[in-house]
Amino acid sequence: MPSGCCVDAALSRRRFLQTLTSGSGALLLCVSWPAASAILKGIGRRALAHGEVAVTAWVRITPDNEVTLVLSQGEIGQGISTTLPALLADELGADWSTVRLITAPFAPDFRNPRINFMFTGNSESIQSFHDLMRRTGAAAREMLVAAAARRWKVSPSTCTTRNSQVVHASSSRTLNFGAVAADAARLKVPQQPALRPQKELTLTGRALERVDVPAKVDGSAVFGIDVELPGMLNAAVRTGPAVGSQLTAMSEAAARASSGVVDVVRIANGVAVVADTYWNARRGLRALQPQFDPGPHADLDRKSLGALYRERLESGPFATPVKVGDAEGELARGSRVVTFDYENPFLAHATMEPMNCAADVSAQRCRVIAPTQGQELATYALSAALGMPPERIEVSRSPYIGGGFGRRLVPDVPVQAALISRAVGKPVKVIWDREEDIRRDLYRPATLVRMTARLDASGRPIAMKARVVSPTILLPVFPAIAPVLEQQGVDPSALEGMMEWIYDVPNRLVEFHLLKLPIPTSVLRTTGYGPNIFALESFIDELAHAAGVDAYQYRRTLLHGNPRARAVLDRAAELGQWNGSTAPHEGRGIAVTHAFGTYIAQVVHARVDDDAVKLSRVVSVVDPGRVLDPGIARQCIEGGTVFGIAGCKAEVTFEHGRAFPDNLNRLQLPHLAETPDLVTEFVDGGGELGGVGEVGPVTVTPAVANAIYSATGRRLRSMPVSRHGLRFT
Amino acid sequence: MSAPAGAALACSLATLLVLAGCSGTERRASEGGAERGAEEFTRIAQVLKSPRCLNCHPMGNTPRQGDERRLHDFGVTRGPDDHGAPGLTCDSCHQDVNQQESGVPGARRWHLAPLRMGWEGLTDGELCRALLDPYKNGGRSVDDVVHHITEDSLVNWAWQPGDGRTPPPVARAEFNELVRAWANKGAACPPASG
Amino acid sequence: MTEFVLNVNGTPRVAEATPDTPLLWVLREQLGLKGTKFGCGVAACGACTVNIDGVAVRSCSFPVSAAGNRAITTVEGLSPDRSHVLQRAWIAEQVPQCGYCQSGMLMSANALLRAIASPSDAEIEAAITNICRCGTYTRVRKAIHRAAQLMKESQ
Repeated sequence: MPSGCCVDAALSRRRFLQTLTSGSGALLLCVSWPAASAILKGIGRRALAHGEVAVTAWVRITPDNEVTLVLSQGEIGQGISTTLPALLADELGADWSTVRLITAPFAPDFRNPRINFMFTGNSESIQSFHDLMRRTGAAAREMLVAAAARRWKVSPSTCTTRNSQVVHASSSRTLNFGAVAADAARLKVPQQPALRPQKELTLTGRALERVDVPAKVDGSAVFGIDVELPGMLNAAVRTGPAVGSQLTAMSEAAARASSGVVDVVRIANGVAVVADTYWNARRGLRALQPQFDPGPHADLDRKSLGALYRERLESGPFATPVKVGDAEGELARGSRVVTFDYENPFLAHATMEPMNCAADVSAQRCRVIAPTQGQELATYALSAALGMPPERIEVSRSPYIGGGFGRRLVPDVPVQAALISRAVGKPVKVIWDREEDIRRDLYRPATLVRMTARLDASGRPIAMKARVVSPTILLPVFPAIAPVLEQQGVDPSALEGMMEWIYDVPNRLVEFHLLKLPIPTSVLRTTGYGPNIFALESFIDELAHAAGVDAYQYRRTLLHGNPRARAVLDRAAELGQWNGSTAPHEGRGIAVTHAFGTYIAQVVHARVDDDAVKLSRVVSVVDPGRVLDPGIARQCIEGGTVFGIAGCKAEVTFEHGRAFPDNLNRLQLPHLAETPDLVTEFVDGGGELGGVGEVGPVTVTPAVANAIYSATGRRLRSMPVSRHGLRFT
Repeated sequence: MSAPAGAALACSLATLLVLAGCSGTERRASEGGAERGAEEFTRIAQVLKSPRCLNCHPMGNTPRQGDERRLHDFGVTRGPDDHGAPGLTCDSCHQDVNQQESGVPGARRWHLAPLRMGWEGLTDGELCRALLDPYKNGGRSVDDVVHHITEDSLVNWAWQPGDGRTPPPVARAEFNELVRAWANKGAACPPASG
Repeated sequence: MTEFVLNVNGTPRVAEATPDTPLLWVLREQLGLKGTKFGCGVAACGACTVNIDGVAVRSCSFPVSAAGNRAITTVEGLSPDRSHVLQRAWIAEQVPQCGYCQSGMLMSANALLRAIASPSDAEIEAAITNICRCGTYTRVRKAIHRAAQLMKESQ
């Protein structure tokens, strides 16, 4: 994030008009369906259609009363393309059943107002944009009302809006938005518009039909991989299989002779074959037979990594981000000290849509369309890579993104595509095959956590210490954090879940070692909470056992000062039949936490027969402060639970510096047959809005470990379960 | 084999053959043949028990794959007629020939051998008997069995299995000769316990 | 390069390709049918699933030369207007999240329903091995049951 960048996030019509009407015309997009509900169509800087008018940066209206809202956030499956526009439309009074949506290009108006940067991630789109959406809808409403009121010669306070019309109830007069939009656009944008009272909002709080679902069931949804640009070529790339390996040889003539191949381009650490179709590019790549050296990290494997982590766990050095009371002193006081180490594996993002990007670069400008979560960061990365000022760079988002999980925040693929396009002098769409996608991933880092506690006479922890060894999570997606890493030796994301514990523990100490690794690591759904809460919620379970207390009751006692956490825990225990009887080989595991502003508790039912683990049920109770769309929130938790199960199965390891497995046949992702029944309930705990996109997987991993312990007496202090000779069925 | 040991072996085999109802004259002719047939079958069994064959002759409802014989990826199952589950039959992925692009092996009518033809965990002797048992082998005579093993296209595949898969330890031509020779000599089986 | 006349969604379509080109890429790049997706290229994920004569086929592993005149159905061919029982069920249950796997899911489900009109949970589990990274499996299961019910009601 550039420092000193004081973008005025307040609504400004003039700046909006400058950004939207400059730049070139629209590009081919999704098939146009006569939609009964809003469908996301349109990419990037679609210029205003003839007669279409912008009323604030976010709302466009045609004389025919077609209302189009701009969607700033990437739809990666989390439903944001429904919830945020619905907030705006609700406040505005637009007819939700006919509203259209377009994606926003990168422009200051569409930045996340919390941190003044345009991105989708961190489970914060709703939290950060909620107020802006309501204010924008209200402002546009007031402008349209003012224009209509002037025409009717009535007071604006006697008018309201409904179904894309301005209504003057007492005289039964209505005017379509389209009829007054031009006049409205000429007015000043109100800076403090009045919001509708809650009872007038008809969309918020309801489970809406998602606007993206229709296109996703008829094949018309356009993902990055489907984008077409006029005159576009396609590229297949191959970089060294191991981290840092370099190209040593290739059969360029054979590749060029391959049908449809237009060019062979050297790229960082590898090569691209460019052809008329992707299939021809792929065949060309096969004919190219690129060879690579083993790279500088050929000694990296599970054993050497394990040794490195363990050595750092013992000797540090450590930063001390949390120091409350005198944990060291208390721990030194001898008796009833419990200590265990917990390991988390590297995880691959493995989004179903492999990485890809379409780029069109000339000497004058660069246009990129990608399934990206990070348009602004990509703009700066492209600017640096191409030596081109940001104003001449346009980063647009494909209407749909086949899974993000944080991978699409990193600008590596847009940069690669842009450099290839520039080299061939034509628009090029780069598609990574699955092997490339996994090998060039920035993984959820492996971490090693040592938890230590001393129990008092009643078994409660009077002192607890966590020592965390982890590589960075934030640096690749938030370069401005570098000074914090350098000077303070901490990565704030890798400390999530450790900076505060929901439990009453009077003496707390957290130590952190920032590991420097050649393996690229970055954000992956759950970020630091995932690995840290696995350690914490497993450890609490072990303390309960050491104290001879039921795992649920033990936690409950320690949540005396946290009624919201206790409430979700109690409800999960109840719904999860915690006190119910279990058959032989059956067990129940529980976990609770506060992450991404949301409280969540889960109970997992498992049965273990020999090596086979069968999860029969997962109960989730979630308190995100307030639920804006119960349907979408439920989807996020259900899907998040399955994502968490994947975290118990699908690790990536390294051999000779090379990631394995590198395709989906061997990556142990869960299937439908292994998916347990999911029971999800929400609690309206009041307070700030929390995120639901990433919180589901956080408690699953420890709850599964705790359930396996309950069923077998075996404590798993690392994942995946295959490390312990177990498998899911 | 030394004369006394050979005689001892011949006696025990003779006993077996008596129990099987062979006449004395045939018995003597078969005694030596039985030994050789049993040895030949051991070599035949090496092929039948190699991953390329055993992977599709499981004792359960899941095929295996790879030289390491892991359970078939993503929970593929036998289905009601050995051709995969309804909705995910074997030919959903396995085509008539090996696919270079996807690496998926293929041959016409790719499917599992029926459960009765499951061979996992059998001794060579048990395998031999299973091969010859009409109840287990689909009602085949010895000639039918020979025909199937030496000429069936799915069996042929084992010797052209595609990249990353090791063919059986005996070459196809030699294997076919072995099978015919074994059958011609009376299709004798090694002891069931061996 | 060979000219293939393919029977796609009930219409003869002409494509020029080498015989070993996977049907997936012919559909996407020659015929403009991009609903069928590329996820792994090794028949492991199911995102490329189409139906050929009603049977689920992973098109990344199916050479165009093997199609002959057999009836190929892609997700675009389920209906012109999202009226297919599976599409109606998928919308009613709000199944998709990112949506990338869903074309393949729908075509796998279509093959299953053609084989078993009212599949049990066990039959669904055996037939639907498509990977969904967003974890929509429980809704996929519910939607298949719902589609089976809709089919029954329309008879």
